[in-house]
Amino acid sequence: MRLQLTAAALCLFLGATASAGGKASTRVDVYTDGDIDVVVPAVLGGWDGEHWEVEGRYVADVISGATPVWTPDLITSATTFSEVRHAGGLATTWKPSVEQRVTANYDTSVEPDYLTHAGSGRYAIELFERSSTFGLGYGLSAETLGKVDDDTLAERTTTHRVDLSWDQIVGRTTTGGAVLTTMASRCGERFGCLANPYRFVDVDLEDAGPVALNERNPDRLYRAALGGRLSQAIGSTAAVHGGYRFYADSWRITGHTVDLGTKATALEERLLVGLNSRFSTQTPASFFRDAYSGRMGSAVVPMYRTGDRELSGLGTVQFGGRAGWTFYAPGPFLDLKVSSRLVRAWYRYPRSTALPVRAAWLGGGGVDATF
Amino acid sequence: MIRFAWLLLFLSSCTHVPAHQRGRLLSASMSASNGLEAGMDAHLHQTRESMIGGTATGGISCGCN
Repeated sequence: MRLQLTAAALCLFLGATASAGGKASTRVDVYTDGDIDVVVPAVLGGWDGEHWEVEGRYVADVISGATPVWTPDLITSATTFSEVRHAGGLATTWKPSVEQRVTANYDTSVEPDYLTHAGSGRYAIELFERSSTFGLGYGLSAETLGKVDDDTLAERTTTHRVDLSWDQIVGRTTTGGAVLTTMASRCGERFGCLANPYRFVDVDLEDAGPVALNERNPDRLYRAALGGRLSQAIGSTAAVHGGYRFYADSWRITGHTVDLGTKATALEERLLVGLNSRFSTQTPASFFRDAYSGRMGSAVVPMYRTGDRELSGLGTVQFGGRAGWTFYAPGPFLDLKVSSRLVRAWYRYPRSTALPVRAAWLGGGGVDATF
Repeated sequence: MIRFAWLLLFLSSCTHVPAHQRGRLLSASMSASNGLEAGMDAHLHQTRESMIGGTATGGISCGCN
């Protein structure tokens, strides 16, 4: 009975805060793998009203490090670089009723040689006495790929994305959900989808000897992913979370991702600690080769060639931990959460002789406030 | 596919937890990552893998407002 009263009070509190209020978050993450270092500061602010929600966010990637550079004369050397990516977005949600949400998003991302505009919309409805939430989303993005040393290059990619989601309250201590994502991309013909215009691929031609040619991928990419997850409360303060995703695309890449984690709270939910793990594997793209060879004819042979390790097939293992503390009603805030995390990741590329394994650290922390 | 969708609808209509019994589902230990952290993770995974999408949201309702 006491637990039910506490739950009812919590629900009323959440309902009251959901009617009108603001939120603000900021965090900084740092990624390093020995080759590159990335610092990612981010801020988010929003207002949640009875019928409307608005949210704005900004993220920067400050990238620095040393990377191999391939040139047409097959000279490979390490060079240092520094680059900043700016990304921002706005979201507006209209709530025509307590069971329905209509969200419109706009996101943009700017780099010295890359520009993205993306718009999306999503409709979500709660059914069966609000135990089930179904969502349908559509997104359209337009990307322009360039080179900092070539003003004439502007390859455009258009991507359509559809998401179908289902979230379900399974029981008083269990929730689950599933998402189906489909994507279709049409890219420029010179480099193709997901290609790096700075990367060259060594091709051994019978009639011309070894040459380095620009990376070139197919200019169409169709992708689908189906994922599900389950969360189970353990006792009154802990929970375990698990998820699985299957991925397949038109380049014959298939992949599996599994994540498992646990979270626990103490001191009246002020302290939150958690552990998480993630495992994934994916097969190589159909046109990936350990070494490319061919014959120079009227067209360049082979037509598609990539030096992208991420298309060579890979396996990843990731372990992490987190801790957070919530201050209730400090000053003008309803609550103030301070959190941090540390993640260790290994990426294994079985068919890459240059770098078969990459190990990385990801650490970060932030503050989330509601008022 | 259509049969699968009908099966999901049927199964989801079978369970109902009243709003006053959903408090445990809304506790911090049951919650997913917040927006900025989830966005950072998605960006990292997309950069390091070809796989994208199919990530469940965990967007359940408290059913109380």
